[in-house]
Amino acid sequence: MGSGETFKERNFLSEAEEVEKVIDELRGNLKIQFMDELAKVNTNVLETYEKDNIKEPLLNLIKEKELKSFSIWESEYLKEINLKQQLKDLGLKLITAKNKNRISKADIGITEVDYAIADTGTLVLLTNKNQPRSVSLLPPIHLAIVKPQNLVRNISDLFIILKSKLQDTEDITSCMTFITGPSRTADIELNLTLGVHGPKELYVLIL
Amino acid sequence: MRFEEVRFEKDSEKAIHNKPLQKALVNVTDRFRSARNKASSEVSNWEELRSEAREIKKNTIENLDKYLIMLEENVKKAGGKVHWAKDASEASQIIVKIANDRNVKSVVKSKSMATEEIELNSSFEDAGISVVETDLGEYIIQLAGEHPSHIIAPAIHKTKEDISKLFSEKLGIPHYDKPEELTKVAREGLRSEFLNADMGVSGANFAVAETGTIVIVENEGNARLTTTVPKIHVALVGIEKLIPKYEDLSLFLTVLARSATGQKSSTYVSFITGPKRASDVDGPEEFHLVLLDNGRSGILASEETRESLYCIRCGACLNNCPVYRHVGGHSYGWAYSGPIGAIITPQLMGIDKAPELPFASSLCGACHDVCPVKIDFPKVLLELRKNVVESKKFHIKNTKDLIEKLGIKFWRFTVEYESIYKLTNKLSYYLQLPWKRSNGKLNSLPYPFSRWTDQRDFPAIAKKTFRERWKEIKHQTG
Amino acid sequence: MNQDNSANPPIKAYIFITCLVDTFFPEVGESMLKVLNDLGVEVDFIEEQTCCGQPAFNSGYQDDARAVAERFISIFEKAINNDTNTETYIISPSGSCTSMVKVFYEELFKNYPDTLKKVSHIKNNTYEFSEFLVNVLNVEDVGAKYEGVITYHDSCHLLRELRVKDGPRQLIKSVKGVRFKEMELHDACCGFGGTFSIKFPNVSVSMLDEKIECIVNSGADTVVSADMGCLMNIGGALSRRNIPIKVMHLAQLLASRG
Repeated sequence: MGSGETFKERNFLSEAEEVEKVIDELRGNLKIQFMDELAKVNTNVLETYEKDNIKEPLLNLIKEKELKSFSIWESEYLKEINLKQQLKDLGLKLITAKNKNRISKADIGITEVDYAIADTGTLVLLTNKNQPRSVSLLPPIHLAIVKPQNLVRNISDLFIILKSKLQDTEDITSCMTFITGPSRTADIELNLTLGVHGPKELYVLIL
Repeated sequence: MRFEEVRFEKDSEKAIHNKPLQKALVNVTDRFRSARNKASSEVSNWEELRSEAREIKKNTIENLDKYLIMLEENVKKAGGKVHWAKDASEASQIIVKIANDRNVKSVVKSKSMATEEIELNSSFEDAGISVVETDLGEYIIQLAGEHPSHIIAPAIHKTKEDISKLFSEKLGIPHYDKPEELTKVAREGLRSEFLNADMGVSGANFAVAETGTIVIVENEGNARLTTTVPKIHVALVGIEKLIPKYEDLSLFLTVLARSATGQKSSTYVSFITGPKRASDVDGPEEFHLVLLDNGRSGILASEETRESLYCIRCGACLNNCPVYRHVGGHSYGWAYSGPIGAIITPQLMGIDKAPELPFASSLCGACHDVCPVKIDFPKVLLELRKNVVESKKFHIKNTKDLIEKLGIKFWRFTVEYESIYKLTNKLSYYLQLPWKRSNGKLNSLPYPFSRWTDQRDFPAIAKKTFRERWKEIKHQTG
Repeated sequence: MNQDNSANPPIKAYIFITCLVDTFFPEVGESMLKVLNDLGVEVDFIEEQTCCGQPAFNSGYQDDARAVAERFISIFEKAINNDTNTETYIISPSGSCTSMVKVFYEELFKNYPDTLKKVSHIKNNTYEFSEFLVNVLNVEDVGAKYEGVITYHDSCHLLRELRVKDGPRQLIKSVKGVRFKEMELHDACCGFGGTFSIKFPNVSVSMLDEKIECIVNSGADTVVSADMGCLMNIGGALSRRNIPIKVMHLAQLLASRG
């Protein structure tokens, strides 16, 4: 292979179509691989027992962690199931992401994901008007809801898809974030400690 | 911490006799080394990836001007501002001015080797602006007033007792025993710093020319906070951090995490393109990219050492270097240590500030074997050694250098003429006899060979050299 | 592979003795000679040879290194050119000196195209001793005998520049009576590094200390390597500390007959 200059210009649109076809066929296996990888990076996996019924695992989490307040994305799926209202109905206080001091005190931040990388257990979050950065960052617990159609095999798949979308539009998100497990450090004598500055706990609910 | 000069021999001597440090170094290098070995062996085409990464870096560095212009265009398109800093002092001036123009009183910083390089914190302090390091390792060494001693784990030379004592002295809190408790102190103490800071300063692992995106790799979350919460985000990035295309990140992120810590992926990777969009709810209102030269274009101009710029700062060379393992990061005298420090410190600071460094290696090549971009460290070190010798050609500074030069000249004289070679060997055979011990070796020799015999026996010159034996054997067999 | 001693042997080896072995360890050269002769290789020694130039090259004195290297190159090139044998080799008992010829001469002479031509001529015929046995003669068992527990130190240039790792181990394990024990950190540098050992003696000895510890912990009674630079460093520490572990060059092991 030559230098970047001598690569033939890649056709990302067709590469992305190919990739999506392959992923479609592997979907079930990818979900299993993804869940395995999540466990390896100290991520708590919540499963739904009935198809797409997230109520039960969510209720358990609220009870277990004694959650009183939350912050949440206004993204497509979360709006569709009106999760915001469901949680308010359960007595949790809604905290806006607009105020950094207030959201820092929220008990949990709830988001979806734009993509999920199966072979590393990584969540991919894009920033936009419905998807603030702070929700997955400032509260001590982050819950991310992953749909099977978010899954890709690996980082290479992801960048093919992202690049194909970029070639369509001039717009690029101000901030894309990869999240693999809760925050950690090994700076003190190489002892692994979780929960430094980012969320101490990461929950992933897979539909 | 202000740079003075590199004193490798003195500082390494101290390090070797520091028992807790020696223990920490063995621990950190063993752990990182085995983690990297495991993570890289899991990738079946690892060697191909290394070659490809090197090719991309080579192409980028050889066309750096073109890609820098592309980067600037794209950052501006996304609403960011780009500043060019020729050297360390200009970079600090630019950043301090950005702060002063906006009445910034407090700054939070995430880990950035480039900001260590330009001693940014000292400039902030001189300007009366408070700056707090938020990466736990950097926070620890900031409190201690030291340079980082490892590229990835800056405070690895400190025991948890050191850290506990440091925290309780500087922060006025009780002694904590466990790493979890110490980490909790840092988390709680620093959270309010993040929320109240006027400006966040970060570095970046990569800068993508075609999209104007900077990429920050971390585990703690402090870089995310630094680049999300304060209203102003300033990123200081060395010009060599460029990569041309967005999809190149797939390759580089794969080799970076595995080479650095053995993780498949670090906990967080942030891909930042400009400030917040008008419709975004949060994020900084201003994004400033400060591009740092500080001697890098000098390295660029040198064909033989240009590959020093391919480095992606993973630290694998440190973890596999037997010299680093025994002397630690502080012996290298500056922000960068280990093999990468040995090659870029003399080139960025000037060879006269660090003439020992190119020689502070046995040329074993272990670094070359693990570098994800295949930097040929021994080749670059040999070139730098040539440069050091050339720089001393017309002014010998001290007796040591004089003895060395005379020694080389004498050696050359003896090996260019076979008769002189044989004569010297014969003479030396007789001269050594007073020092020959019963075990047939020499246990004491005059300077500079005393530097060997102080701690090891030296072999004796044979009564009959091989060529004399050969003559005899040939004679016998006719 | 014709190893018949009686006919005119098709393989001829010129010994590149290295100044270190010539002056300090001639017995290593003699062992190498014996092993090659026993395998039916015709061996010759060019008496004008002295040094390949590496000490100056590694110390940054490239002009001086070039002068000495040019002498080396013309001596050996002449010998190969004059030789009517089609399979002529230059064999050295040192991974380090062999690397100088095979790897670093190209670097040293990159701006000297005429010399470069000569370099490419001789470097393809230049081999380190174990490499020659295993890869050219395709031999692992040379008929040697030695009673002992052996551990092997990978010398840096041999391992990383010439990529020789398994060959020496196969040769050692084929010696009758040998029990082979791999030590921890067998591929870690011993701290020699040529002039590095006297430029930074404390760092060198710190590295050496760890190597000695690994050798002792392996339980071996003999340490073997393919480079006398390493072995003089390791041996110098073992004797100074009165540790009774034997030090042997691979050639000496392969020449021993029990």
